[in-house]
Amino acid sequence: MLEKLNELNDKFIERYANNKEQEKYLLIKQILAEKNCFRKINIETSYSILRDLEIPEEELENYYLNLI
Amino acid sequence: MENLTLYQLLKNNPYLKKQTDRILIIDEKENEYYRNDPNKVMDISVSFLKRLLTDDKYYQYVEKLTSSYIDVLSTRFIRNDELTGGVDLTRVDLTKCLEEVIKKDNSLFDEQFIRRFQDLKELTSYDQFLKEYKDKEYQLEVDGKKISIPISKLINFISLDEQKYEQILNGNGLIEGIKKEHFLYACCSFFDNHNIFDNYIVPQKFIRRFDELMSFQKIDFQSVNAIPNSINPSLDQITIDSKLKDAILEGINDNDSDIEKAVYIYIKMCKLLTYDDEYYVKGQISDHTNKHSDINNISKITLENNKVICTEFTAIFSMFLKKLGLNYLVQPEGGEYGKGHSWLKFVGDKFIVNADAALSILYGDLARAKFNKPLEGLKCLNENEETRNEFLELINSIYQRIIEEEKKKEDFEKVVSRYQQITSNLKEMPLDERLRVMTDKVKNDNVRGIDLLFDILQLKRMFFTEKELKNNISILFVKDNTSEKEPTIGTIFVLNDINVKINTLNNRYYVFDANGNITSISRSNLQEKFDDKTLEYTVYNDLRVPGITESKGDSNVRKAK
Repeated sequence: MLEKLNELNDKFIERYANNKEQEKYLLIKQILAEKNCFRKINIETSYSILRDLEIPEEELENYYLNLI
Repeated sequence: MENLTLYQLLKNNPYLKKQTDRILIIDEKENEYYRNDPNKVMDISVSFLKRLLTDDKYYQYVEKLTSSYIDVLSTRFIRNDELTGGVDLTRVDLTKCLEEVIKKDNSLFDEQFIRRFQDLKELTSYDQFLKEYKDKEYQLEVDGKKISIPISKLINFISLDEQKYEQILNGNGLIEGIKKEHFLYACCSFFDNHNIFDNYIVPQKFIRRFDELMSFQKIDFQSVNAIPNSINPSLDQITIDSKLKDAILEGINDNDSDIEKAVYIYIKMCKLLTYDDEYYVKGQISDHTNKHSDINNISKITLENNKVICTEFTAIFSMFLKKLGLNYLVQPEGGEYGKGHSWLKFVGDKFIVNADAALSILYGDLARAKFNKPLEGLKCLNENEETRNEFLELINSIYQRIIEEEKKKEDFEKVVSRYQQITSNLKEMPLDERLRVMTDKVKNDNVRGIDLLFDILQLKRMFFTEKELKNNISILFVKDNTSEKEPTIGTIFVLNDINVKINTLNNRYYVFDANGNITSISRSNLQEKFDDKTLEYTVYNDLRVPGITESKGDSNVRKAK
């Protein structure tokens, strides 16, 4: 699942090349690179990242529970 | 006259009565004669040496020496009512001196002298040593284990030809089925503890090899039995704050050796704790600082309340060392807890280590570690330079790892913080919603019993901040008697957006049962469950459910120790 998020994130980085939005996705990339990252950040930040990656709201909990 | 003088001497100096195992020469003329005797062997008067075997009064001391009643034949001169000068002769010293006397002095020795000398020589011979010891076992305790070695094996080893000896020393593993370092320790301690070199004339090779081994330069076994055990009842019962403990151990590598873990813990402790500045300023004479004399203060030291003095640092570190199975010795030995400076020595692998985090209050490791400066209080005490260098490398490697971890953590926190600033998708989640997700997670983890409690305790910090855990949420594990078969563990969650303990009328209650089902429950229904004992506190409950009153005479409720 983490791999999938990384792939999604890479697409957003590409999409927002030369756009200030890209900074956000570059930061997400660094966060995702940290081992057990979702255990090191609070649930609200985790949900925020998933929203930024355009995971549907109704699927956020399911994703999150799998990631932790 | 001499007897009166002796009587007078003893009356004036009662301590001399205890000098029964020494030859005391009180006659001034005799003193002078021996001191000025031009004939000396090893700086001892030849006349005196001869007298040891010719004069029965003196010879009884030789007999005491040869029967091992005394370890050395000791003489002292009394001058102006004080003990001065004199010699201390072992059996070997005496034999060698007399041998020289015989070689040097061609005068005729009578039969008694010759016989007595021959007796002495025989008792001190290598053959006598073998006769005495070669069929016996040497029993000793080494690093907590009792071992028994035939002395013949120790003798065979130390007698080996040079090539074989070097081969065994440089080989790995065992000598005579025993760990090499333990065998070498046993060998040296046998010769040392039995005063072999003082009592028997053995091949020079033995002494040379013994000296070489005991320098620890060839093989470093100095740590063997250096601290056989850690006996310190006052430190046995100490506990430390769990968050502090977690922070100290965070990042420790399970694959590290015990000595590496000990170094890791020392450094982390220096980084997380600090010397009590008030103690330093007030010089240990205030009510505030008196607390440091109470060993129970240790349990109150936390990440926020992190001020310690040397005794507390030592006590906490000793607790970790004990858990690692490493022996330690608090210094100074016999010191009173909380009084004066305290540090410790410990052994791990081949290292004997001194750990003094407050070697200097201002410049010690407790301060230095905060700035990643080289440590001064953690020192290897081994005489072998290679060992000391190895230890330094070990410290540097662990220290570097910790510094990198810190940097990584700092960097990660900065990244997360920056992300939180710029994203527009960060939405606050109500406490109840977070609780629901957390309990879903616990249910999905499919754990039961104590494992379920553990899961909740691990997860709570991911779902709630420290402030929320202190003020807005209470989590209690209670006995749930709902089932007719046997009681189970129930978890009660209490939520309040303002404060669970103060604003109790607005508390929201949830019961999480052993099957992983979470149910909202009103305060009155929850109170009923406690009143009719459907739910009960356990012996481990120090806290109570906020807003729920305790029924009187609840005999099942006892404070956990």
